[in-house]
Amino acid sequence: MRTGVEMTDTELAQAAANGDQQAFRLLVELLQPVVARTTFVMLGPSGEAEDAGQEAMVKLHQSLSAFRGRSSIATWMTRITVNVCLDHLRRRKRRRLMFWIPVEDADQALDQHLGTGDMDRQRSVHQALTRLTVAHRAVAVLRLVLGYSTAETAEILNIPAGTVLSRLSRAKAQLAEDLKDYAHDRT
Amino acid sequence: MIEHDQDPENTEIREILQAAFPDQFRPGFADRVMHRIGREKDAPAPVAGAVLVLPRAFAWSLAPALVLLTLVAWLNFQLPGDGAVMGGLADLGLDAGSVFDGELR
Repeated sequence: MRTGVEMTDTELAQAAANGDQQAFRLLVELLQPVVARTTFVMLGPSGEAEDAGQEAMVKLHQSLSAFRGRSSIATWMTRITVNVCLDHLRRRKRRRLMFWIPVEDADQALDQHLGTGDMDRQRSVHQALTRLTVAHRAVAVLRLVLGYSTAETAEILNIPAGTVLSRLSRAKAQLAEDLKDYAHDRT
Repeated sequence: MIEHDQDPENTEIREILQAAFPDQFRPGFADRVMHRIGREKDAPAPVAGAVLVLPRAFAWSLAPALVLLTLVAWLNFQLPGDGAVMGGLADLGLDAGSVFDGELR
């Protein structure tokens, strides 16, 4: 029998779908970078990001039997994670409306979770991202952070490729404007 | 795992974004996920879950109901009347008994 290290992503997913807990744990470790980046960029580096990450992994566990290997397991996982993040953002909006929570509270929560070293930089990048609409942020995370192609991004978000390109162009222009000081500091 | 987009225009923004956000959760993430999966497996079925939620919903609705009741009672005493609880309501035209009494006479 092959060990988890020698198995492909699809084989690991199949083993996990058949109830192999060790295979699922390996899958969680393998997919953690994709899930962490997606949730941190979509929701900000807070406890909510990890909660969404766990929720996405639980949904993956529940849906593994439906995985046919037509796309990679990472693409499948990304689709689940983006949908979980969109649910969290909808809930967050409802909570704000119901309890009149001001937007500034999100920044206070962010301060509590950021380290001291790159706090200013992280905060300005996070603020630049939150200035994007959710639709533009989703395209930015998939195309710019995770590096998916336009076609893959369109498939994950279930939108036309033309929409991906127009949202990407808008997101890039806005991010370039908002992050120009930081970009200059790097050179 | 993911074929990265090689567009050089995107590289700078990608580097900034990737540097700003970690690609790992706190140590022990896999353990917490496995624990949560175990916990959700043992969770009650949806109908039983709804039954468990009902007492909490009742508790949440109890407090506003009590506040409303107190407010109505307080208003009732504040309204002009003969000082009795129903006296306030009578002045609001809610004393149905007196209307019927008038018709019967």
